Amino acid sequence: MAAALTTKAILTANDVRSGDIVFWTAASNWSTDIEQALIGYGKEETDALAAAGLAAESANAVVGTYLIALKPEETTARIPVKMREVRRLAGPGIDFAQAA
Amino acid sequence: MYPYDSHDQAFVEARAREFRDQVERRLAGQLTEDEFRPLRLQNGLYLQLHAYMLRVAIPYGELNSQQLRKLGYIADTYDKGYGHFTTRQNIQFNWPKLVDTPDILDHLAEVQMHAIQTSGNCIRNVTSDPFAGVAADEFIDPRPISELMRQWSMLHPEFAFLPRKFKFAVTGAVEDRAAIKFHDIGVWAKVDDEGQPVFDIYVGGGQGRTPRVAKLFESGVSLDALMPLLDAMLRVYNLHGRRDNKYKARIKILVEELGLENYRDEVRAELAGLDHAPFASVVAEYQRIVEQFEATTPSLSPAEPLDLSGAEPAFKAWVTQNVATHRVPGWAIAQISVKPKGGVPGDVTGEQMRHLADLADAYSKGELRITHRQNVVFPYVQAADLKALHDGLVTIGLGEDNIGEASDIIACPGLDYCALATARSIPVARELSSMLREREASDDLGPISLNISGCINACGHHHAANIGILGLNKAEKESYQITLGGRSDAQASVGEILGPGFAQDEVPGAVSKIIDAYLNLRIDRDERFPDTYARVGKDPFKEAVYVGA
Repeated sequence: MAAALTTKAILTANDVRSGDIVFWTAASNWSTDIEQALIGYGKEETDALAAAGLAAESANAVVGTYLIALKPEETTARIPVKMREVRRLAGPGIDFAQAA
Repeated sequence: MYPYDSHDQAFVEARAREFRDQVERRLAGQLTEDEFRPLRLQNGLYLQLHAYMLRVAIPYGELNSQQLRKLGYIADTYDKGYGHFTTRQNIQFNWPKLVDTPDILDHLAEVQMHAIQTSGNCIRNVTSDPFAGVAADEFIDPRPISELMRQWSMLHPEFAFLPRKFKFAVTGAVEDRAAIKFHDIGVWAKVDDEGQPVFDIYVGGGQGRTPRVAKLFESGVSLDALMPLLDAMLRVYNLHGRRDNKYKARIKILVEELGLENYRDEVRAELAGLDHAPFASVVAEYQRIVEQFEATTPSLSPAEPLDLSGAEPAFKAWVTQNVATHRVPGWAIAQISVKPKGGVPGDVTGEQMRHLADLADAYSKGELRITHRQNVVFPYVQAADLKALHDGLVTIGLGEDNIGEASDIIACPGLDYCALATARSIPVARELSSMLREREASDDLGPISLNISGCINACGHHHAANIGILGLNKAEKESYQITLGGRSDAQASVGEILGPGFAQDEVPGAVSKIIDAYLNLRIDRDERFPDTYARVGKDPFKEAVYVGA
């Protein structure tokens, strides 16, 4: 479940069917491309993202929605604050997985 | 190995059908994620950092070639072409899609496999000695009692929702190769003066944030008394385990808080009131399982020993390092390292699995084992076939001669895959492996265990390693804490923290200094790392690593 953030964030989840990491877009759908992720600025917009996540979970399209806090100094870049999210977005740094 | 009977087969097929129905209801929106999560976890399906992860049970680590071929097929068809052998002798697939998991479970059921109880607060896969049945130092084959415990614990209605997960390990040899003292309950099978099986029971071991070495609960337990005793031990834990705090919910905490004597008294009281009727057939069932194993165990006649005179150096080195003594003269236990230089510990491609299966058919009577050190064992290799086996392994990149050396690293998936991890394990393992293989080529370092965990949950068994590495998140940067002096054998001990942590790129240098210190401190080449550490303590190593750094 997404918890609201007040600065700058995007909404993420995993696709129910595939497990793929997905992001909520400006077109109100889910994309595997982080560049399509809708950035929410400030409390009102991040609250709206969180609400969209709850609705999507209720619709069983995705699972485990939450907001990723982004570095605020980069106004349009999607750079997570937390190391865990940086690693999640980067994917495993392993040849096997990347080459397959 | 133990072959399924019609009951076993019907059971796993029914479970696969049941899970297919559950997945269909989930995808149709008839089950919410909150409702579905416990169902998928009971079938080994996690949602990890990037994707779903399916953990497949390999009871006491024993596989046949048909099963390994199937795992290779699953890796190539439903995953990204590889699987990962775990520290509980299981295999994990890191990229299955939910929609494919019912088909995967059907494929597993076809070869007498499943993913039940590889997750959740239940009794997990029973682990054992990978040399079971063939070890030269064995009192008694631990597989029949492991199988009996598997059958007892499988879907046990009372133990499906324990305070926390519960791990058993069983060994039956002089040397403990199953790390039984780092388990919730460890069973050490032996034989009495009449040749009958008896069991020493250890309780309260474990790793995680509160590492503990198990304490001896009772020794010399007879076969007919074993299962009621284990049942009573679980019932007391189930009743009194700390369900209010998951960090204090393991049996090690209960035993510590109650005190061993009080826990023992509670178990005896429970045992006195226990209905023993369900255990009336235990001895007969054990005997049936023994006969099942015997019926499928190859008959080995003593053969000529291996003559290494004139052997090429690479083969000679592999035999010296990777081959263990078999109970039958002229036969060998071949340990296959899944730790190639700079590789990912425990990762095997689908293609490698198929080749390994072919090699097992050709040279190991079609049988193999997965070890808790994330390697593979061929238990039935005629000495005369070792050269051909080694040649075959080299062609598939699994000919490394480093079993038991520092580069034979245990590593959990860490923050490359795991949702719980706080730092990456795999890149550290790869860097260390490259550095250590260079050193092992020039220095005689002797046996050293080096284990890496990517968080305090310690799936990489860092507490139990001579050199342990724990990855942590310090102010959003990966930091690696080193522990020294742990060991998982009969002299089990928990490693001590050496000092402040290191950045990822500093770890190989720090480990190299530890190795240097050991080489300088050891009395002679026969003094192993943990023995040197036990003799001199932490300070000389700390000085070597931190002073002048």
